[in-house]
Formats: sequence, structure tokens, C-alpha cells
Amino acid sequence: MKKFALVGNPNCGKTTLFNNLTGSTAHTGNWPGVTVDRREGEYKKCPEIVTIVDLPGIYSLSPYTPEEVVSRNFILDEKPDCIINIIDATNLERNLYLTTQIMEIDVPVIIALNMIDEVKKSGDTIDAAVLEKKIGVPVVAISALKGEGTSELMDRAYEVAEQKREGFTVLEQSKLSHLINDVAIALQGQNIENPLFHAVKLVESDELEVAAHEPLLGMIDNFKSSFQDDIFGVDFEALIADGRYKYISKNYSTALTRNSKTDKSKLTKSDKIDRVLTHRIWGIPMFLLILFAIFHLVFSENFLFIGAALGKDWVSLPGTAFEGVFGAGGINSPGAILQGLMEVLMTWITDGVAGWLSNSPAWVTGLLCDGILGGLSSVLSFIPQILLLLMLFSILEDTGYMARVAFILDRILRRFGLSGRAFMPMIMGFGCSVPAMINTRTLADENERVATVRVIPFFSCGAKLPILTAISGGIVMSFGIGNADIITYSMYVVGILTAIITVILMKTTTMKGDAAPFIMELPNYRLPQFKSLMLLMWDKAKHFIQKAFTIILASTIIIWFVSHFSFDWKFLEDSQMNNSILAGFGKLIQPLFTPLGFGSQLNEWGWVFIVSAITGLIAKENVVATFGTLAACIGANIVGGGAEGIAETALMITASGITIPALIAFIAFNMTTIPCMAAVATAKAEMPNKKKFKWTLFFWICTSYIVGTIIYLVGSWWWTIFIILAVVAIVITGIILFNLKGKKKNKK
Amino acid sequence: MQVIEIVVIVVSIVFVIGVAIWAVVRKKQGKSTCGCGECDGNCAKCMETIKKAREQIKSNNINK
Repeated sequence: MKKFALVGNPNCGKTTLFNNLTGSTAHTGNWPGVTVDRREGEYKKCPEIVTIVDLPGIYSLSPYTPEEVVSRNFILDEKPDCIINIIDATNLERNLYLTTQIMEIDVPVIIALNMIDEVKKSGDTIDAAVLEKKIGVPVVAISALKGEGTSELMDRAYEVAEQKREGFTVLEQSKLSHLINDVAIALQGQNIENPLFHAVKLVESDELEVAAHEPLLGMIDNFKSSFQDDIFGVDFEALIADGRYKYISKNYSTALTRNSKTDKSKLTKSDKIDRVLTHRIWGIPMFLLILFAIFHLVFSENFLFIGAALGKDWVSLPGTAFEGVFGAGGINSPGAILQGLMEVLMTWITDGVAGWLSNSPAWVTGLLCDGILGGLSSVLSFIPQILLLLMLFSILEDTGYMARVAFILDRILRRFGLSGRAFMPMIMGFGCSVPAMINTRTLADENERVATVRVIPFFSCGAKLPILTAISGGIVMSFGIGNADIITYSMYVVGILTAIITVILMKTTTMKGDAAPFIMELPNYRLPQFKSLMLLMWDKAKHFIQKAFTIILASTIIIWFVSHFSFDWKFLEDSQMNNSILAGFGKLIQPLFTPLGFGSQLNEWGWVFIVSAITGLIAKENVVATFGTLAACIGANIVGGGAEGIAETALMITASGITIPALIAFIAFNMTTIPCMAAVATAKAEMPNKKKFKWTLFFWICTSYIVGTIIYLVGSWWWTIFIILAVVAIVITGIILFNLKGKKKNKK
Repeated sequence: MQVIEIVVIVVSIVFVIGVAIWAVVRKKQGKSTCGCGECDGNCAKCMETIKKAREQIKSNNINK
């Protein structure tokens, strides 16, 4: 079986081509650095099955971050049968820099000239035949997004893979050619593979090469000692880069013909949009406004704030199965309508199953309807809102806006020792903490990587969304105040602020150091592809449902059993659940949460909040699933009936006597505490050592406890804000004094 | 005890144990249970690759 590697600059469309060739649905995004690990798939339309390997993007074969090393190691060590070098045709010159390095390796190469449709759209033309003649390797123009030219690319790649190819360097016509040839001959004498590539890298003093060929360094230094350039002196790295770019602009760039009608002094569409969206002053308020618009579209029960203007509940459809689905007073947002429809469906299923089991023993009906269906429906009813939110975030990512946000935030983050690059994994955290933590591999600085992994869970993932929606909806329903979208939006902002504050604390105390330089190519604005958005939604829905019918379902069964059996293993009725194993465990640790408002001050059902938070450590959806399971059982005893979705939470709020500040503290605690098991395992894997991982767990526990306590205290007694501000001032003064002392010591 | 009671108890126990085994197997395969659909990068293959890359960077002081 043949193996082809996809190699190219970041954001040139490697993963899009990979998905196109293999039928995969790997995550793509309009920003550099989405792929951090190699990914394999199969292409079946060649005479034999071909393994396609998608590699992280690299600008050159001299790597600086772990994922760049992964790409280089694969190309050199695993010897693919063919390298498909993908080039962003809209940025030919810069992309060809990597090509000139790949050509030095003794491996068959083919160039995929991607995004050729965008080049045509701009009025420019690239003559692939001319380029092929000049470079000396096959060039195929493609559009990975539209699937144009990909079959021809693979057919020619298969032909190329059948032939042997020797490396060639564009530096042959430069002043360095003799030096490189001397080193290459010396390496060839030592039977080293790819002698030309290693020779160029050794002349360049590439650190990986220097370490790998230590015995030869004396000889190479000897060769180099006789060389001196008038401009660059003995800076061989600069000299080689200059040689490559000169060759590219003199030879290869002639294949590109610019549209003569294009007025270069005129701003492009992209530039005009950037003038507004990346404005120094308005950039961040604009981002917050866009974020709010998204939350309003997904969660609001007073869409466009026109409820008061309407003045009557003409959309509530009283007395029908759809009562309140489209609104009650105000009009529901599209997200809230979809969530309401899902609740109607789940109620219909639960009622149907209850009717079917009417002659069964009470405990069987209880387990199936209250336990399993109660728990599942509480989670499943939020699927439409989760998918809608993820789709809107994905649109922002695909258009290229998120890369701009990283650029805007770089100015702020840099002051605290983080670069704007760290923002990209944080943004990924809105979807799921696991891939977001893996994406931190793109950060070169270890301290920056550790700090970013620690704060990623504060960016609420899709699994935490049901907690936010259920509690904020419960607050609106129980206390009749506020808008669910404003509460949800505020909690997301609390998460982001917590992340920023904790990063500042880390970078000014235990993780001092300057931020790594941030150079990010801003991608062109692109319209998101409908097909890729639908694939993303389908993928997310599939995995969410898979999780609901495995881990969540198993958890609800366990929760129902431990809430209906006492420590002496006697079965308990719903009304006796306060004596159950689960209640006993919850009550035991309940006092610990008193400073957060959901501890000992709550009445007899207060333990439900504690056990919900604890079960959330397995998977965050479990928090709401536990509410659902227990509320369905408790509901009959308190209000004389069950409920679905948000109504279940409202029921628990009434039953436990919890206050609004305590509920907000409960959300904040769940958002900032130890994430789910999968995220914890990933954090462990991404930490440089066990000690840092243990500190990370401690950091999550402390942060959630402190944030929850502050919210509860200030929400309950506003004047406590002054005490908290005084404590903050003391901490800041302490840090400043500590740093000043350190600086004085260093001066001495 | 009615038949339905026995069935519900047996199915519940088998299901819970089955899910636990499934989660362990997925973990061994390096697949996540988080539901995001991505590989969690923790399988032996991925970890070995990234460990090697980090060691290479560290030993060469690339980040200095």
C-alpha cells in the first residue's frame, strides 16, 4: 500500500483536501494551526489503496513547535512514497519557500496548486504548465473545497510515486553552491540519506541537524570558515533564505500574471472589512457585540426585545401542546423555539412510555420514565441550541473572523505574557476542551502552553451549555426576572474574565516570562461552505447522541438506583429519597459548599445540587441529567407533577429554596471546576510533568471555589464587594512588592 | 417478582457494565469519550510522536 503525505503551509487547505480525498470529516478552519497531529485516511480510486497522511502546517523544514517537528520527522523518517505539496495559489511566492526545501529531499513530489478558483476570481492567472516546467515537478491546479482537479492530482501523484527522484536545490546557482556541494559529498560518503537536504540544513546551522550530526561539525565548520558574504557576513540562515527568495521571484513568479485592471492603491473588500472589525478601539466592543448577538439568537425568550411592544401573549398558544414554545409574552429566538419543540417531543415520548407501562410495578415505571427518560430528556432537549451555537461559532471561524479576534486580543494578552496565538485554542474550547488542549501544541513557549491548558475549561464547552441554559431558564421561570440570553452571555463573559485574571496571576507569579512573538497570517475572508457546516453539525449531533445513549444513560441508571436505595439496601419510595445512599453522600459534603450558597443553607433537597456537580466530573451533561432524573422523582411529591427540560430545574429551585446568587455561583462553579474525565486525561497528557498536572487540578478546584464564593457573596450582600476589592488590592500590592524585590536581587 | 422486573434489572446491569467496558476500550484505542468526535491524542502512537518531538526541541534548546 502506498503512502502519500500532504505537506504545506498552515491554512493552505491540507485538511480540506484530506477530507475530500478520504471522505473524512476532520475539523477544518480558516486560520493557521488547526491540525496539530498527523491524521490518516484512505483513497480508493487509484489502482491500489493509497494511505493519505494529513500533516500539521509548516512554513519551513526548520521547526520550532512540537507539531512542526511531527511534520518534519514524518517526511524524513517515515519516507512517504510521494509528497503532495499543497500551495495556496493566492500567496504563491511565500508558499514556494517550503517547496524549495521539500525539493531537496530524495522523494517523489507533486505540487497541488490549491484555491485556483480564488485566483481566477481576482482576475489573476497562474500558468500551471509554465510553473511545472520551471520547477521540474508536476503541478496540478485544484480547488480542494469544490473538489475540482483532485482526481487528476491523485492520478499524477500515483504515476510520480512509481518513479525515483533525486533531490535538487535552487541554491545551486547561488554563491553557496560550492559549500553545499562539498558538505553533501562528505555526507554521501558517510552513507547518509538525503545528503543534499541535510547539507543545506547543516550549512544553515539548523539546531536539529547540528545535534544529529555532531561528529561532522568540525569538518563543516572548516568548509564554512573560508566563506564570507559582503551583505550577510557569516549569517548562513539569512543567506540561504535570501537565495531561495531571489530564485523564487526570478524564476517561479513569472508563472503568475496579475490582473492589469486591479488598482493596487485601492483597498480590497477584505481590507475594508478589517478596517472596522480590527479597529484599535472598536475591535473588542465589536467582538462582544457579535458574541451577544449570537447568544440572543440562540437563547433569548424575548427575541429582538419586542415582547414589551407586542404587549400580549399572542404567540403562547394557550391550551395546545405547543403552549409557550414560540413565546410567552415575547417571541422566542430560533434556538429557544427549537429547544421548546424538542421538549414537546420528549414529553410526548415520556407520556407514551408511561402509558405503555401503566400495569407494571411502580419502580419499573419510575426507573424507565423518571430515571432514564427524565435524565435523557433533560440533556437531549438542549441539542438544538448546542448545535445552533456551535454552527454560529463555526461560521465566525470559517469566515476568518476568529483569526482577527486573536490579532485584536494579542495587544491585550501580550501585556500579561500571552500571545494572541493562545487565543485560538481558547476559542476552540467553546466547542470542546479536548481538541482545544491538544491545539496548545502550536504554542512554542512551555509556560504559555501550561497556562493556556489550565484556562481552556473556563471557556464553556458544548457539554456545559445545558447547565447554563437549564439554570438561566430556571431562574427566569422561577423568579420571573431577567432574560435567559443575558444570563448565559454574562456567564460566558465571567468565564473569559476568569481566564484572563488567572493568566495574569500565573504570569506575574509562578510563570514569569515574555510572550513568544506572534506572527499570524490573517486569512482572506471567505464565505462558509454550507456542506462543511452541515457535516460539522451532523458530526457533533452524532457524537452528542452517542454520548447521551451511553455514558449519560448509564449514569442516570446508577443515579436512580443509588437515590432509591438506603445504606441498609432497602428500596425507597420517591418520597423517601432523602434517606438514600445518594442523599447521604450529598449531605456529607454539602457543608463544604456553604460559602458558595448551595451548601447547608438550603433545605432538605439541597443535596441534589451537590450530587449534580459531582456527577458532572464524569461528563458535564450529567449535571443536568442528574437534575432531570431526581426532579422527575421529586416532582410528584412537591408540586404534584413531573416536568421536562428547563421546568425540571425550576422545580428543583423551588424544592431546595436556593437563591439567585447561589444559582449563579452554581453555574460559575461548574464552569470553572475540574472538567470532564476526557479533558482531565488530555490535560495530563499535554502537561510537561506530573507535578504541573497535580497543580493544574488544584488550580481548577481553588479557582471554582473562589469564583463561586465571590459571586455568591457579592450577589447576596453587595457591600462585600468592598472587602473583596480590598483583598484584591492587597494581593496585587504583594505581587508588585515581591517582583520589585526579585528585580533588586537580580540587579545585585 | 414479575418478568418485566427481572428483565429491567438484568438489562440495566448489563448495560452499565457494557458502557464501562466500551469506555475503557475506547480509551485504549486513543479515542475520546468526550463526544467531540476528535481523537483525544492520548493513544500510544500520538503520545510517542509528540513526546519525541518535545524531547527533540528541549534537547536542542530551540526555544531559548
